Amino acid sequence: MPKNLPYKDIVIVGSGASGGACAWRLSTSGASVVIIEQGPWFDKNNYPGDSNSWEIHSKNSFDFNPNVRKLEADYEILDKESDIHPLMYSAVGGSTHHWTAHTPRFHPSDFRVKTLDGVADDWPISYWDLEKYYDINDEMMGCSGINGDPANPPRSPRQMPPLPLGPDGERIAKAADKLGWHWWPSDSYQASEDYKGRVGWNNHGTFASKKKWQSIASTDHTYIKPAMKNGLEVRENCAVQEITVDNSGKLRGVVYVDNKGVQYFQEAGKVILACNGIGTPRLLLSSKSKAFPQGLANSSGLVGKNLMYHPYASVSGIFADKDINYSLGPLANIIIVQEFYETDVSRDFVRGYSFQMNRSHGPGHTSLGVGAGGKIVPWGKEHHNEFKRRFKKFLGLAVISEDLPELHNRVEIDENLKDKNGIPLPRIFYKTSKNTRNLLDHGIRSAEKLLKEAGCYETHVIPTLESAGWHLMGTAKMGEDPKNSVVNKNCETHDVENLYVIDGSVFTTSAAVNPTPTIQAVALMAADKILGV
Amino acid sequence: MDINNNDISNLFSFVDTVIPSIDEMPSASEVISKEDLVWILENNIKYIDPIKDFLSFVKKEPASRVVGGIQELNDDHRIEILNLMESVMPVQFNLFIEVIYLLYYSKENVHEIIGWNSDELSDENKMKPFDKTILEKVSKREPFWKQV
Repeated sequence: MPKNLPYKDIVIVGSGASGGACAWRLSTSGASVVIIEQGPWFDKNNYPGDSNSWEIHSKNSFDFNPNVRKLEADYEILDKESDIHPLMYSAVGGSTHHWTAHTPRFHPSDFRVKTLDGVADDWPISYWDLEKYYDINDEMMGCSGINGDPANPPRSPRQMPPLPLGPDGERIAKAADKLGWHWWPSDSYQASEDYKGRVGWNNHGTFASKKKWQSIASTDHTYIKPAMKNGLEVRENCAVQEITVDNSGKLRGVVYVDNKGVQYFQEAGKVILACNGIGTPRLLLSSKSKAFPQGLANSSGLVGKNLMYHPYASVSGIFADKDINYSLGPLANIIIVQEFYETDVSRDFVRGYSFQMNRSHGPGHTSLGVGAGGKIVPWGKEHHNEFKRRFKKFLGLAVISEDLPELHNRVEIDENLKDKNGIPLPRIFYKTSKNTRNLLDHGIRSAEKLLKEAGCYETHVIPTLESAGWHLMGTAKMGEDPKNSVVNKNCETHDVENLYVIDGSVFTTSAAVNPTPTIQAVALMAADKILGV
Repeated sequence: MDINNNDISNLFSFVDTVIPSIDEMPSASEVISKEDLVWILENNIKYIDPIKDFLSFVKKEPASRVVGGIQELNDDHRIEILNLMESVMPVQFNLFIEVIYLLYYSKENVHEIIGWNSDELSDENKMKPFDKTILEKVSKREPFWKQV
């Protein structure tokens, strides 16, 4: 029997991008709030940057993929039936410890794709509903950038100037200018200057340096520590096994286990799930009861369905210049191109994509084929010549595509395979759609054109990056109709009062940009709805 | 980790075939050691099974049994074995290569020769701050986001 703990007003499961933001907002209300996080506190001095073996760590213990890392806090993801491997990080601060901090906003059109293009569904909220929360989040996370982007609505002043473009970024910018295409310096939650106690980038260092990692916002510092001053409690290394309800279906709280194997029952007035687009449906589907035999909040049958990633294609160009170091500067939060963002009826796909510029990697990754379409530098006598030709000489454009929701792309749980805490493992089913394929192919052709205009003499293409499941969305869809969605516009589940989902699971559609600022804006909005603001 | 000293020596005997010395570039065995191999295998679980597969594959090759053991193979035999393994066991082979490459390119003396400076505060790694004159053309474009 689990040990009973004293009642809390609010339990938040997960402390990443959304859980941290929501916890901070709620902590200002005087309510008793506790975060339960499966990972540990993460010491920013322990980033592998600055050690000569950082590239070894980044392919192993600091890999994006939990199936590769296999750390104590990681659970296995059964992803053999998925074209793309899901990525995440478990710690207080979640995946904001392991990201590029590229932070564009969704466009107003992204919330209205049914109306505009006749596909998927419109969100029950608009860009304008989220605008003030985007602004609050930018202030808390600290945004480097500059206003005036013609591809996006005007926004509040950025907290810091943009990160430096470098001569390679300027090459891409000038090439886009020549083609008459849009480009803009990326908004980024990597601090270009010292910001609220965070060490800024200050134009120094390679992307691999410890300083780079420390200049990137993570929610343990930006939200959770300030919230703890308001009374927020954080329980690390604790995995929630079940959300419990009484026989009438009324929410009771959560059962969780700590890393010593001690099980607890935490009674709560409200439970908020912030475990990402895989962890959240996993927990809902695992929480079966008499009242909810299909899993919690799943009367629509949509919990776990409509999984969206952002399928990426990668196009890299190799340049001949000897005077440009293409590995100096931030890795992938440099320039965004949104020339092909909206639907054009003359194309063979709906919706669109962005380009995200990225740079050369370190020597180890270069030798393993990064920047050359995954083609490993040959071993043997040709090795050194080919390595020299590539090293610090390539830059790339990632094509980040809008992924439309499809029922067959989904997260299920495998009742027969459980993690060390007895929680069923998630099994992922995902196939890239024809629309996405056509969209990515268009993006590849456009990227090659831009890189050639910038002066590269050779391009390499990866049509779909398999290890690019950073963005996990759609598996507890937001909508007005309980038959066609899991949560309402306030992020409260239709089926269970006082149970909320605030991570990327609630996204009705995915847009074609990195989702974190939107995830956090939704979480802040949900907190205000909970508080009745 | 279930790989013994002899296995490590067998493994190590292939590293210069993978990265030979050419011009100013050192061979793999000039910069990495058997201890490095032990360290990376002990600390990174994903390599253990592929390396075991690699070693089993090598041991089964006729040349390894006839000539007097794996460590006595000549370079032509090693190249032949690596080519064969690359074609029949590409996943394991690529992880074997990953181990050698990552170790080799983690070494400071290699960094010096190839020009990789990870000192974040060195002048060489200082970037010029963002200069907004680069925005001159694109900032004149009319806003084109969709009003909805």
